[in-house]
Amino acid sequence: MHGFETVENHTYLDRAVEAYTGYRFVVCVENTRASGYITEKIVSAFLAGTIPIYIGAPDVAAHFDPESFVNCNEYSLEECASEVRRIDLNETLYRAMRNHPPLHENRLSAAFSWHPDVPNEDNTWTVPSALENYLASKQTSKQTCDSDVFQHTELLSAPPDVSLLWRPRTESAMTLFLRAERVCPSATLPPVKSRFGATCLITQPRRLQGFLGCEVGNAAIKDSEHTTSYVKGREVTSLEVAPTFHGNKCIPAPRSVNSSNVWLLVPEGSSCDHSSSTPTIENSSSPNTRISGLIVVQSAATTTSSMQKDETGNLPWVSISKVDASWLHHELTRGTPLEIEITFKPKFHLAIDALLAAAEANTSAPEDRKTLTSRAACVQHALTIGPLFKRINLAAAGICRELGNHISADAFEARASRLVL
Amino acid sequence: MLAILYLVLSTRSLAYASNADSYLVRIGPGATYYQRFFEATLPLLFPGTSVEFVLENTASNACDQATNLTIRGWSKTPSACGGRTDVFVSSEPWDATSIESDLLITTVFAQALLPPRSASSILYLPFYSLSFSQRLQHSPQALLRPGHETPLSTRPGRFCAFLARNCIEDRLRLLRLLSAHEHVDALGSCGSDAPVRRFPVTPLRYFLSRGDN
Repeated sequence: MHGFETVENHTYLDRAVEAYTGYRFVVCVENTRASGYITEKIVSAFLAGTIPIYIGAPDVAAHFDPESFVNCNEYSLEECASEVRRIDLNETLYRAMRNHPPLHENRLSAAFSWHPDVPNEDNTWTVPSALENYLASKQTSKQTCDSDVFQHTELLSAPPDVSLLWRPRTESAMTLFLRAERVCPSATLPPVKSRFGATCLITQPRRLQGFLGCEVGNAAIKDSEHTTSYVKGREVTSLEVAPTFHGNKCIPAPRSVNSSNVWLLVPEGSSCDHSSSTPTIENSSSPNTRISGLIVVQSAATTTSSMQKDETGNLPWVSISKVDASWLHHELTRGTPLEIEITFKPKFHLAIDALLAAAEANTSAPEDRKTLTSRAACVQHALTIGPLFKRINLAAAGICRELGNHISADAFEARASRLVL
Repeated sequence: MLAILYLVLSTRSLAYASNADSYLVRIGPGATYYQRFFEATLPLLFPGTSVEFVLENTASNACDQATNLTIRGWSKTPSACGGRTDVFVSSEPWDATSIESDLLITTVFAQALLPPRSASSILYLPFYSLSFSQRLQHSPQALLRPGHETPLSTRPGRFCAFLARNCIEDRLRLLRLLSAHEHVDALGSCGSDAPVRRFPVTPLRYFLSRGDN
């Protein structure tokens, strides 16, 4: 088992099964409807002894016995709810469905041959020799190494916790922006100026560029114009970040702080009150250096406090997650020179607009398939974060259409037709 | 002749699929949550071999390749490229048609999203199967018998549960429709604004930043 939290020898999936136990039905709606894309949801419901109400992969009945769950792919949502009600009110129907094994024996070995608990005594699954021949022929014909392989290896010294790369896609619109920048180099991002100026800690350039996501503001200002600003390349500043902050005093970094633009990393749970006066750096080589802003670790207390001060015109602040702060602190204590880019978290829809604009900007030669593919990549990235936005899906449909992928285009258009925003 | 196969989960066979004993597995973009399914399962797929794992945001765009790669964990540094089997894991249902690899492991079975059969061998490995890499209390055999957690003679007292983090429209609409019949219990962070009962006790992933689901 790798990488997951367990509580009393139960993973979150085990706990999901426990949570479902005692229910007659469980709603299982996949994020995406694609053939074969059947996730853990329906299995958790089966294991709990409930009847799954399934919407998702159109071929789900080829995997699980359709007599054992309500396959709402066949119905509208209204019809689906009616069917559930019909089954629930008919004890005979309900029992028949619930008592039906979801998986047949012959599917077990096909679908779970990798699992140590699944017997594979006859070894009948032997891979056709064709695959072996195919792989062998590809390997022997390979003349050169892919350059990107060695780029991977250069990064082996990166911090061990690279989960920052995979911040949940619904959490950070910034991630979307940064992906747009990488995938679409010509991205023109909206040069909106923030009242805060430079506000959000992002990255150390050489490594993990652009992946230290951050949250700015809280619910009180989330919808204000401030959080819609995104500054790129205009107010980016090289900063030094002092490692600790106590009261209004900053303990200097292991190396001298000589920048005129210093941000403080406020430890989690700090009781410091930075409202009374602007913090100063103590024993610094530049004693008069003013603190430009605070970097606080996400928690209700610090965020609220900082936000209030910010609203009253005090120091700008950013909050970062614990894991980001941990990494940052690690780098600071190592004395790693940090080049910090300051940007501002955009509103989600602005990020998507920017991404689409970037995709559009790549359309210098619409007939060029490579350009089209590049645009498609941009939109694909948008879809990984904003699949529920109508215009993203319409854009994807248009590009798929241009690329001649009419099946995907139809799918995107169908999805767009169900969306409002 | 290039023989192209669609394998439906003859996954143990991968260890024998090639004379190569070294694999470079690139795990494509996707939610952390699902990528970790693969992290946990891949060692079982390649027993007794040397496997290097790479998390990758995309493999289809050259500019991205240059800036967007990093290593997770325990990989060995490849000393040479020859003899190694390139495996790409496409963990989400998106367009993988431009992926080039010796073997593509995919969680979808949609032709439109997969590369041409002349470009790669394809192994279909659905998440419902992979999920058993993260289940300590059940093995796949449990799916051969119905309702083992609750006696079949007992009709469960509660109507319907719903556990999700990502509030996609279909989910919420269905919640509302079902709630017209009887209370639906929202066990996760999604659904709190729907006309359902809310139980703020859930598996960790639905509240922590585990992924999007």
